[in-house]
Amino acid sequence: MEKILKNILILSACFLLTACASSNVWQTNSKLTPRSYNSYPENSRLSTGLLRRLLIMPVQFETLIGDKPFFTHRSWWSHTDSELGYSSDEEVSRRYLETAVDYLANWKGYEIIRLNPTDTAERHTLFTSLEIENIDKDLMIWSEKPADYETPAKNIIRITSKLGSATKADGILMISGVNKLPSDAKVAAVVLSASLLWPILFIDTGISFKAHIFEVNTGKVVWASSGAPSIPLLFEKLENAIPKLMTR
Amino acid sequence: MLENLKIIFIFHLLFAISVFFAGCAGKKTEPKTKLHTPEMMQHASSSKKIKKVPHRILNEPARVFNAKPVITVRVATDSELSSVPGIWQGKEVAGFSVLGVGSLGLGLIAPPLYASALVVGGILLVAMPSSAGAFEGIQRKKIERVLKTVDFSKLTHNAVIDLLGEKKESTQDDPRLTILILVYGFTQKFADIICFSVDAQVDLHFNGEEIYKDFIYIEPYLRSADAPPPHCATVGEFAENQGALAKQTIDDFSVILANIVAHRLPVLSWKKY
Repeated sequence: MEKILKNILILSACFLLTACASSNVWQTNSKLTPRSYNSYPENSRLSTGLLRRLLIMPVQFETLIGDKPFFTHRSWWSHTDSELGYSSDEEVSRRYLETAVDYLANWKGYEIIRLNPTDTAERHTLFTSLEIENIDKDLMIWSEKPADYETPAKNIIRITSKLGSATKADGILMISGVNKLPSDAKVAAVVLSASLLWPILFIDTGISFKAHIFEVNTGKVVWASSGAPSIPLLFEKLENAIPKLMTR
Repeated sequence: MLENLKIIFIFHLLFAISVFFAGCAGKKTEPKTKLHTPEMMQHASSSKKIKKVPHRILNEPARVFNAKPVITVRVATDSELSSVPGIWQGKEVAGFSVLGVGSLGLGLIAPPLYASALVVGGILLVAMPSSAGAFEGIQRKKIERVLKTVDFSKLTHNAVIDLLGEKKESTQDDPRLTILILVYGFTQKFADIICFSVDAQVDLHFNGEEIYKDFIYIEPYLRSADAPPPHCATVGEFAENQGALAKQTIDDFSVILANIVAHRLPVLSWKKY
């Protein structure tokens, strides 16, 4: 019995450590070329930071219970909206978009451009909602192929080039996230084991974000971060942008 | 053995039933620990507001100087620090005459950086969390060593000369540019995250008359409107490889400071990239 308890404690510690781990960050070694300015100090050591004008795509956030969408598959034990802190994935996606814009502008120095037809402040009439949705989908699918980051397909180059021409952005930022809640089976297992199996609640659950930056001029994915439980942690390792007053 | 298993089974069954009924019958209340709400996932620092201080640009066509300025960059003395007006004293900036146009009150009250951190002769030392242990102490020492060995004012001087050029032999008529580094160094943002911060005063004199005076603030929560965010990282990251990132950051910000000065004073002819 003592041995089992010990094992459970060790497992719990491992799960908790995994849950608290910071994000995995990847950055290209290629030399990047901005689009919104012509020159900058030659001795600059910046890489992603050169893409100072970033077009941010709508955040894609989903809440899952097990593998099913939470808001259409509520279960007997599930959280209320007030416990979750939001009542739809669309609502929380918009909130995370605001958090990302605020953090990247105030703490990383990026000039953020939005491409969201519902945002009346900076409306880009060049793209319809459906177009944005399709673009988002194509870029998101491509961002799942790390082996191809440096060799973009023709349609990816076409999309990034079109977005770059329309917005004069240097880079395109994609953010996605998921909030995985424990499935019914896991909750039942914990209840039936008199809570002895509570560590299984931590397996593959919790909030996790991913972000990818595409270089507009080449269509390459030049920076990626994944596994962060919050937006600031997701971008913690991103270089500060080159200050505008250092560009010509 | 069988008896023991029976007891354990009954115990589990009773527990499961009680949990089930407690969950169904009980009034729903806020759980003690909420799961993953967006608010919980916000950065601890994001709720703190960043104060932005307006800046002035000396941009009068009649005042374009053809002569290169005489440039002085140095760290402020203790007496100069104590006489800096405005934000540093927690009061409104006293009005001062600018080009005879009148006075300018920035009207901003903000906590002075140097009052909340350890300053030695204008150099800010790393403000560490109170829980810092021996390991953090070693890292802090590495950063302090970098701060003491790297001459920030000299780096800034070189960067300003790169942009503006320098008059070697000056006459009374030459414009005189003084950049007074009020304080610089690493200060705590939150937990073990620290940021390189610098505050400076910029003066331009011409024919003995002060024609420009303004401040540059690059701090986590207090910034000039034209200043980029400070560079923040963990104490460990700044200290790694004998403080390589700390050195690089100090070097980078000397160039950034020089660029801010050049942009605020387009009346001085400066080199473009």
